Amino acid sequence: MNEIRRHIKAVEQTRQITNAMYLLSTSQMKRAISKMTFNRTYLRRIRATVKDILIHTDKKHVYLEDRGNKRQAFVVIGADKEMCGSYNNDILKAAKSSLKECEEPLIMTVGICAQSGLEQAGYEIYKHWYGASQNPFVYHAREITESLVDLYLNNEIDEAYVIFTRYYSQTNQTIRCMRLLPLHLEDFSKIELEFDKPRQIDFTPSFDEVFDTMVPEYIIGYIYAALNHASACENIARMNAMQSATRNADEMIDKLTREFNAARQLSITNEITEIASASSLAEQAI
Amino acid sequence: MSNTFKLEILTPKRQFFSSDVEALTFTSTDGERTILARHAPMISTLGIGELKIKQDGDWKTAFQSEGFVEVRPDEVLVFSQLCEWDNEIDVVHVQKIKDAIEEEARSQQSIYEQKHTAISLTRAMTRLKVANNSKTRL
Repeated sequence: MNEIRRHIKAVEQTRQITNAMYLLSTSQMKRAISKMTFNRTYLRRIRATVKDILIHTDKKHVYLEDRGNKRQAFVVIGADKEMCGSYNNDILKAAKSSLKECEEPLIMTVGICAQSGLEQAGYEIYKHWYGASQNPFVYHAREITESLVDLYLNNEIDEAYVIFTRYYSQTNQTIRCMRLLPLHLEDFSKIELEFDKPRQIDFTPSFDEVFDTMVPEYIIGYIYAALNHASACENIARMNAMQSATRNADEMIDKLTREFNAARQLSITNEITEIASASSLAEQAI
Repeated sequence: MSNTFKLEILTPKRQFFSSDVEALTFTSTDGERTILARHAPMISTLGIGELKIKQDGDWKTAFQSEGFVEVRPDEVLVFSQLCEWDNEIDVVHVQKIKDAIEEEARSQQSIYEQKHTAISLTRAMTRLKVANNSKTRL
């Protein structure tokens, strides 16, 4: 009986923790989603603009050319903490299946779980960032972009991808693998043009300089959006996991309380039977 | 024909500005440029610097970080990493950032790190400059 009592207490404590985490992830999710709504306009318009520029240019630039030999870099965005259901597993599974196809992938990770998961699978991590998945800043996106662009310009990689969880709605999130470098028109096929008329565009100061600044800018915007999406999805996953954990704890407490009551009832019945039989024996003795 | 054009300034964090304006002055990587209504289609770069907007005869000043500008026949789009109105800049906070970067710069060796801090330092100093300029005008 003491054992059951202790068990109930333990479950109650766990329930308190999961419930607190549920509330916390709810507010974090709300924050991530509100950030995302501002970011969405930026991303949509910058992609439309980049597409527009790509259509209206036939010149060559280092960010546009397809290099023959494929050395790929991947940025895998996961969570810093566990306790969010299958969120980390899903992203790791997707990352591993993409990584299997390339010979010498260069891996960068965001979030401790993504890093340790891939290290366990035997991959070497080139660079990693902590804290960026919980509350992403433009600053994080800028750092990630800088290292990607540096690697690309130093000819150490030929392609760069980002793997993250895309948020569509509370119940619909999918894992996306998106190519960031080099820029290809087919990656923009879903984007609608905002101003669709052929025209001559002037590049000032020069075509090269415009692309040198514009492309990293676009990548920063994209990675920032990806971080925001990932953070919203992570918190939704955690919210759901914690909600069901709290529910399970409630059920368990119910069950244990019933068991406890039954055990108490049993012990009382036993005691009464004992007293009754003892007294009847005592009566007979007299 | 009216002498205004539609201007939209977007940053990853927020829609900074969206309205009809008379003129836009921005800092490109090779100097300042001004755009008036009916400018020819153009794409230009944005450096770290000052951005000015003329609306109803008044000039508004803001800080701009790297990005680019697209001049379209129907509107002008500015994409920047960060934009702040001059009166929004938290001078104390930026000064702190600047001090921290300078401290960091002393202990750094690699070219990559030096490049990184140089950019951050320019950003912090320009923000202070934009903020101070607005104070002296008042």
